[in-house]
Amino acid sequence: MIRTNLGRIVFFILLWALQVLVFRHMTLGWGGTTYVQIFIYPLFVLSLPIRMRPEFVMLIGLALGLCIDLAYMSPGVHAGALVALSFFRRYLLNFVEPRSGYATNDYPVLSDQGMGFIATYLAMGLTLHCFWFYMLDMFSFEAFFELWVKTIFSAGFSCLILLIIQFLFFYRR
Amino acid sequence: MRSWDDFLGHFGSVFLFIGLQLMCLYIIVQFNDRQQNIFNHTALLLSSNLDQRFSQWNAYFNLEDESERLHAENARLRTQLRRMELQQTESKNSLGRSSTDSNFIYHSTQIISNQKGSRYNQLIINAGLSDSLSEGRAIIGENGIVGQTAYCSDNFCSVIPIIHVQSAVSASILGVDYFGQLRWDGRDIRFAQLEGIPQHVHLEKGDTIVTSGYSTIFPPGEPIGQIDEVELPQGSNFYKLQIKLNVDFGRLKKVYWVENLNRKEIISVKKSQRYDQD
Repeated sequence: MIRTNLGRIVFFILLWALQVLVFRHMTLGWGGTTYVQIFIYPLFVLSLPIRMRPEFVMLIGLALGLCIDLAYMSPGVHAGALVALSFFRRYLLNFVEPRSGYATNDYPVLSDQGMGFIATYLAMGLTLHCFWFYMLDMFSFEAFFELWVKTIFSAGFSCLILLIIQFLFFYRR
Repeated sequence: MRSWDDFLGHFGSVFLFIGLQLMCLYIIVQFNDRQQNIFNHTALLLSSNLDQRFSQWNAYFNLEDESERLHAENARLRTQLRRMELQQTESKNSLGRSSTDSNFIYHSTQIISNQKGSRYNQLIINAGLSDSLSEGRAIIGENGIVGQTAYCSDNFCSVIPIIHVQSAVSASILGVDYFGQLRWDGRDIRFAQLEGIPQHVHLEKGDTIVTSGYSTIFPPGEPIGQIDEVELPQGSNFYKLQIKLNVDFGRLKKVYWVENLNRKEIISVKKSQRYDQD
């Protein structure tokens, strides 16, 4: 699905629609604070080709983030977080790189990499994304504990959803 | 050029990342009310804190200017005080003189060289001909007279202080009005000697010595010091008084020079009398 430009555009729109129409309303919280939000759009950035130039990844991340922000009415917050994720993506990829290295046209998705790889990669990426997102959202380190609680919960739930999506879209039988 | 490419290749994405983050931050602060409030609050705290520090810092560096300014203001106040005193005596005496303006104007300046330790001590002040200061003007410190100018260049003047063996200042005892010559014997810069007060005058240790005003240089009533020792040499009709000087020549910095507006007139009168005698 993400191996052609057309496929990527479709994937982009699909993720955006799912995020905005479905997962935007799936929040969980207690005591008047929302602790769990589900972010699926980071998957787009996380699934871009491994060898793609980080500058392109960041610009794509910015564009997708701004599109998400349009729906969330929070200009810049999602975009900032996604740009950060796009920037740190290559370090994550370096970290989880298999002993044999990456093939030239490899994608960091379930069909190309193993389950362990994907789980670690998504967990780290989403933790980073959620942390950055809540940092920009709360805009303060005053409630540092709350920041981390939100990050861990949201990243955990999002990670589960994204693993399901990986199985749905990228599972090679 | 190649190294520049390498550099961009290595760090270009970092710059882009920082740039995009800054852009996002800008958008966030610009368009999100809550974040904007937090931002504004923080910015205010930060800037007020910075301002405070900066002003403290600034105040520290401006101390010199500040003291300069205060010194100049002091000079102005002294001039005014002189004028007020004169006005008061005028109204008391009601002599009908037309001018009630003070003849003395005080200007602030400072000492840039202070040579002591010889019998011929010398000070240099940083005002000169370009400040319309010339020789034979009074130099007065915070709490007493210092000396008179001797030689002036465009920007500097040398001063003969009262602790110079050739210095002689007409001085009187406050409230008694007898006057004598204040000289210095070249020994101790804290003390000068007053001669010429007749022995029938009643004196006490601690009496205040001021300038007499019989001079075109010093304004009358400027403090000089206190009587420290009263001595009547055998066979003399005049006291020899040891005067403890008010001015501490060891740490003199800011002084005033005094302009006497009537100086020329008085000198010309003196001269004409001399010619008449001749």
